[in-house]
Amino acid sequence: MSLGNTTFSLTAKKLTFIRDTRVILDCESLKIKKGELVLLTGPNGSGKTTLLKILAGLITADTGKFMLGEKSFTNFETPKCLIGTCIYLHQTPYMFRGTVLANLSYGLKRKGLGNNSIRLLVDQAIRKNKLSHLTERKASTLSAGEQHQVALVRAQILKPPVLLLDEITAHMDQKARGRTFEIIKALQEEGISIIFATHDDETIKTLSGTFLHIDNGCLTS
Amino acid sequence: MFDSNSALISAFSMLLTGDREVWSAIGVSFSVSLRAILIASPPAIAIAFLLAYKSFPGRRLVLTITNTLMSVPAVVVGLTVYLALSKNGIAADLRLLYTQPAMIIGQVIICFPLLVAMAHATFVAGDKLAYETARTLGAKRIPAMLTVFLELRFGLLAAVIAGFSRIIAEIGCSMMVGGNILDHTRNIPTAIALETSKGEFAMGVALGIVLLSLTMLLNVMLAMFQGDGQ
Repeated sequence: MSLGNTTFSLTAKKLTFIRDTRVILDCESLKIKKGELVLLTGPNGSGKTTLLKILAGLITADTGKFMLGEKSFTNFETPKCLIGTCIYLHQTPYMFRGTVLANLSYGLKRKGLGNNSIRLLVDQAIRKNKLSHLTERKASTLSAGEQHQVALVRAQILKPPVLLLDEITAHMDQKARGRTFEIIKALQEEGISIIFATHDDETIKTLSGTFLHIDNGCLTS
Repeated sequence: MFDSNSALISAFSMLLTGDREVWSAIGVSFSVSLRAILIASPPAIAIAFLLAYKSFPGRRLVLTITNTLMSVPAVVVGLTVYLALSKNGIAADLRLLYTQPAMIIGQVIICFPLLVAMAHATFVAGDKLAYETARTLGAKRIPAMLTVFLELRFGLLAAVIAGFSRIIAEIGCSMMVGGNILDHTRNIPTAIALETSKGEFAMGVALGIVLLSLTMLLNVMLAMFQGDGQ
C-alpha cells in the first residue's frame, strides 16, 4: 500500500487508539511536509498528546500505516522506526541530572558518537542558540523557559526529520515565548517538520503554519 | 556480673590486636551479605521497574505478595531453605547445607521483597517523563531503563542499603542454614549470640561495634555515590 511520496516527511493513515472501549484517537490521514509547521489545536482530552506520542513511537496505536521519508511501516513497528527519529517534547520538559552540557550530549551519546564529535556538535548548537551562559549550570536549576529552550536544542542537535511539541509554551512568560518562537523558526529553516499542539492564541497568531483541529480523537483541517 | 567498661576495653583490644575469631566472623558476615545483596539487587530493581512502568495481568497480585513477604521472619526463611537443602529436601543434591552459599541463598530470599518494594516505591514516586525523554532522544529500552536508574539513584541506593542492613544483622537464617561453624559460616550476629550465651560479653560487644562501624562506613561510601540527596 502506497502511503505518499517523499515530499512528505511523515505520513500516517487509519490511526486508531482505543482504551477501555473509549475511542481516544480515530484519524483517517495525517501528512506533514518537510519543513512544514502544523499547529494542532483542540480541547483538553481531545487526543492531542496521544496523537503526538503515537507519532513519536512512545505509544503503539491499535491500527495504522506510517511512512517516514521513503520508508513505510505498520503500527507495530513504530517504536523501532520512530523512536529517536520523531522527537517528542513534553509540556514540562524533563532535564536529566547534571549540567546543561550533559543534557545536550545525551541523545548524541545514545547514537554512539565519539566524544570529539559530540563536543563539536554541542558547541555548534550552543553558539547558534546563544546558550553559552547556561552550559555549566545544573539543568535542574534552570527556569521553566530556559528548560524548554534547552529541551528544544537537545532535540535539534539530533537533527530529527520531525519534532512533536506538546503545548511547550503553556507556562512561559513573554520573553521565553519569543525566544522559543525564534528557535522554532530556525528549526523550520533547517527543514525540520514540526507538529505543535497548542491552546495558546499568541502562538497561533505568531507562528504561521497549517492548522489541524482534533476533537474526540478525530482530525479536521 | 557484666562490667560494661571492661567489656568495652576488651572489645577494642580484640579489634586492635586483630583477634582471629573476631575478624573471621567479620569476614564471613561481609563476604556473605555483600554477595547476597549483589545477587539480589539487579533482578529486584528490574522487577520493581517493570511493576512501576508496565501494565500486565497480575501486577497488583505480585505487589501484594512482595509486600507480604517483607514481613516473613528470617528464621522462617532459614527453616524453608534448611528443609530444601537438608537430606530429604528438594535441593539436597546440591549439598549446600552449612555452607556460605546456603547462607547467601537465605539472605537473597530475605532481602529480595524489601528491595523490590522499596525500589518500586522509588520508581512510582519518580518522574516518569525521564523514561519517555530518554526513549524519544533515541535510547533503546535497556539504556533508557538504566538512565532512569541513574536519575533515581538516591532512592534505589537507599533500597539497597535497607536490604543490606536487613541481612547483615539477621541471625535466624544464618544460624539455621549456616550452622555457626568457626571460620566458615560463623558471622557477626551468630558469633554475638554464641559468645553472649557463653558469658563472653567482650567479644559480643566487639562484634557489635564492628557491625555498626562497618555498616556506617558502607553507608557513607554509598552516600557518596548518591549525591546530595536534594
